Amino acid sequence: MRQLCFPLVALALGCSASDGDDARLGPTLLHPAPGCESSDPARCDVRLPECQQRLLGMAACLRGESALDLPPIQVLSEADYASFLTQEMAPQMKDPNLEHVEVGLNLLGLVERGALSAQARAEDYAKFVGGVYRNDTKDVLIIDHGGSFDAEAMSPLLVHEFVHALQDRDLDLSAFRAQASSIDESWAYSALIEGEARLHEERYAAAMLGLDSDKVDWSAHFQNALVDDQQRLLAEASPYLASYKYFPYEWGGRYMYFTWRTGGMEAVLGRFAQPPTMTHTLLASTMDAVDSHFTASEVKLAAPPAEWTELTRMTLGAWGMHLAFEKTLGLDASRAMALAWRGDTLGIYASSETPAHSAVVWRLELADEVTAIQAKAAAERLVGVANVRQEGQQVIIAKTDGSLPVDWAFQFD
Amino acid sequence: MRREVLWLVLLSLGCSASSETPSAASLWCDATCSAAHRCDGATEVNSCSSSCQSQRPQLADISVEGAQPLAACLEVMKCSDLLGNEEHWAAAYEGCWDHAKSTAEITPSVREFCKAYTLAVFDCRYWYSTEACERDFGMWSESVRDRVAACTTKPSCSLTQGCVSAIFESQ
Repeated sequence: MRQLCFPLVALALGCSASDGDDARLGPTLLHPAPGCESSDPARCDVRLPECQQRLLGMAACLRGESALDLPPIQVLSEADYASFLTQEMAPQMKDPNLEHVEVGLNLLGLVERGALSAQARAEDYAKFVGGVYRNDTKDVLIIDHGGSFDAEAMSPLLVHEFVHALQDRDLDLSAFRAQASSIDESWAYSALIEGEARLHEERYAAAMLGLDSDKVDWSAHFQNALVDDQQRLLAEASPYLASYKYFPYEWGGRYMYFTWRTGGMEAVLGRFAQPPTMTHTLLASTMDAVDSHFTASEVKLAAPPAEWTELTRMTLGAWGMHLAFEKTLGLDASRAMALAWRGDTLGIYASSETPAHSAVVWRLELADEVTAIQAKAAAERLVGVANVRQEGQQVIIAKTDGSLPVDWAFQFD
Repeated sequence: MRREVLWLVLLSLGCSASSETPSAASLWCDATCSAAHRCDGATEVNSCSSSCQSQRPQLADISVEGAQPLAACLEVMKCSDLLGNEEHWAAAYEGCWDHAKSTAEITPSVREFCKAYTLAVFDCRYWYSTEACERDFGMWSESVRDRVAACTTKPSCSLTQGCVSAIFESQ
């Protein structure tokens, strides 16, 4: 009898399982974040101080260091935050050159007209941001986007912001950012800052979700996030301006994951000591965190004639090149071309006419002449044949929204 | 001695449960038809249930563990929701579904599925907790879970997402 019963016991247990709570499986197994086994990864209401304190401890643990005093945290509505940002950006809007910068970038297809207005930027930013750590006031804002606001679902986001607070304590984020000598370098630094925060946010999220971190395919996770956001970015009307929503987080997240995978937090902190100085490095780091084995060339621009005034210069870097050329080359080819970037300078000019017109001159240096010829062809499709010249490894693009000639820009030394 | 008694009890429970556990479709239809009978006094439960089951083959996609609490809720649904317009019915049904999700038994098969599935969707950057997965998929049959699991072998996240969406859009 016992022998007959034995194989049926499993059936009996299986069937009775549906009869009542006694047979229910226990609660879902949680997996702590590796290295932070004593920290509870459960999500919590980020508006509550005890939750904030616990998540701060988690952020510190993930970085392998001690916590700091809890920074002030407040929840702001999206509308209030947009209004605050509009006011904060108002002084920048008085810059008389801004209109010309917008026209110049628009001529290259990088931003749409109106995109640089304070209101447009503030609304876009407020809509995007879930939370922000402000290193000038050392506090955290959590943005309530209305109906979908879920105070517990914001737990990973608060860990992300706390990572910034810890970075600020260790590095002084304002000072770190101030080292950047070009826009391209600024993007690279932002990618380090946001990339590290994204890395720990995701490590925490895995534990919070009940996932076994050791079984997560982290490379796939960061790569898929990048691919997904790349599509979103390229669908934006002003991709260069919208880069702040994608590039630092996704390209930075992948880069800092590779760095962490190689040497843990020591390697991550090492990156901040010797940060990559160009977006090229982040674009090139597809399988591992690699170095860009060249020094970016200082690319000169011709002095304009009297009827033009140079307003500003900037370096868009491999990232800017990738975005500009994607429209005519497609994603893979523009990325490959951007990896051949060796330096650039973009100048914005105003004419002496009334009303003044704008011009943009963008001189690029590529790794070799063949790539420069290909870049010329791509640029011609972007801005018209008459607005592009190439010589050796260099390409010059010059375009205006007026009728005054910009031939003066086509001087290769 | 006590152990032998236990074996017998388990055997008897097992056999009776195994042979008498109704299908998800019959649980769902019996409950809905009973509620209809309660509300209109005219519905004949057996024929209603039989016709309901033949007209709704998709009910086989609901798990028995999910159908049990779902049926318990449907059976006591307010007549104004049951016999009212589509909107009332949909809202009340959603309420029953959510209640059933939170009380349905989580089987080892669901747990195993969710362990793998939440990892797969995390690779595709979706934050889906194992707990939510167990609640959601505890309502669906093993056949549905198998089809969803097959979606995760697609070569890209967008194909996986499309494949999973297609399964639930057809429900």
